[in-house]
Amino acid sequence: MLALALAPGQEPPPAPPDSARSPASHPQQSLQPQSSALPKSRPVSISVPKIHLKTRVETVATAPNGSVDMPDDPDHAAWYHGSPTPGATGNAVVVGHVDSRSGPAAFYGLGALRPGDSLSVDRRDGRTAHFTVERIKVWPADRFPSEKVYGPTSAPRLTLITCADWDPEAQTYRSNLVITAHPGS
Amino acid sequence: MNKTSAISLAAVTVIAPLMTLAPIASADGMPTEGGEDAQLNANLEPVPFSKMTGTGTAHVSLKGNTASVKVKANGLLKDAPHAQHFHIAAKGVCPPASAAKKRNDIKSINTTDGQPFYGDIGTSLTTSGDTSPDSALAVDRFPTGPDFTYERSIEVSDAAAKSLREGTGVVVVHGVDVNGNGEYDNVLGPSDLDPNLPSEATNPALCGSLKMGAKGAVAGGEGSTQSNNPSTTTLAGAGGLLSVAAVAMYLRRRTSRQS
Ligand SMILES: [Cu+2]
Repeated sequence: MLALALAPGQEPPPAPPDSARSPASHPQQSLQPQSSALPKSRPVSISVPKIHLKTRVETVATAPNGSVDMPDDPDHAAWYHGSPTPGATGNAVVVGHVDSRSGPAAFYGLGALRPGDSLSVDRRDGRTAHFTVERIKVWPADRFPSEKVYGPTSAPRLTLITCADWDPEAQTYRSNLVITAHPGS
Repeated sequence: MNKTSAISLAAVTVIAPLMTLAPIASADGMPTEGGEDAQLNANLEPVPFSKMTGTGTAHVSLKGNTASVKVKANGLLKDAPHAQHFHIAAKGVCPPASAAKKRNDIKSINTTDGQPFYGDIGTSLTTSGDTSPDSALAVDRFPTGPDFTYERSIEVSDAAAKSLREGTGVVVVHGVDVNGNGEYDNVLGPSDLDPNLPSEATNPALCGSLKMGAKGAVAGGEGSTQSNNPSTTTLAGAGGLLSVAAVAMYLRRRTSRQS
């Protein structure tokens, strides 16, 4: 309570909607060719106007435990090198910290997003990939559906991942917040 | 059912109880016989000069030498068979435009042109029966266009399993229609694989490198924004004398590397 009272900027991150925890079925991905797909080009920055986020996008590889590594700078996001580049055909994965040891990090506000919200990724080729939030899910780390989250798609998709569900006992986050977005603004 | 698929079905039935008896091995990612379990994904994209507009995806779940394969593809030549394979043990990439050669004055990439990049055929992804390289052009046992979803559990060779685990496996779907006349014809001459077939029937159409998929939740937070995190309480308490914002700024600057 002391922390809350003294540090309004360090409130827990915004909560995702209740539906993020329902075991909703995943609709079959479309097999239709997407004319909206951009060619491959590395991401440079990501903007999420609703949460006043605009930050650099680093590049990360697989972490030693098989998951996706996190950006060095908690104020940055990071694109997973093993996924297609945002805007290109397939499932582009971008990760970020919800908080650091000292306060909110790049993806602190992600839980405030709702379906229909827009975001965009600026790319090295000078083009901007626009996306609309489609689905918000919270997956427990011990039942994490890796294939659903990281698996390929035949249409362009952007998947944003950060932490959720602080466990005060274990002093760690127990879940991941996973936001998927499709092209269009 | 022919002999080979009966054998692979029998193999699956035998493997299943073994997996149940030893679930720890795979849960820990420990090597099972023949190597670690692997989940591999590929985005299939048109091969340069193939005139393809379709795309696809492939997923392979590999346990030992058993590969559960799923290939989805679209935009292929309608009502025509599309040979598909794991190509293995080369660079593990798809051929670039520079691999193309002119045939009948048309630039194209045939199966041999792509070999330095994706390698030789390691497994034929047939719909039934034999899956060895011998079935590379078993046209009556491959999916037909324009769109298909292929799912099959098959036993792959040691060489193929090794290549898949090393990340040099490539899924290639063959069969193009560069002149758009709705059939395989001799516009590009005879096939480099079988002179009795037109090159269009065997040229690579869609291609994708099979890469190890990421596994598990990310570690993207330290908990400083959680009110019940004692470290936050301490920090905020210490900040009582100073401006909280100043403390936050100070700490933010100190933060260089996080998990
Ligand atoms: Cu092939």
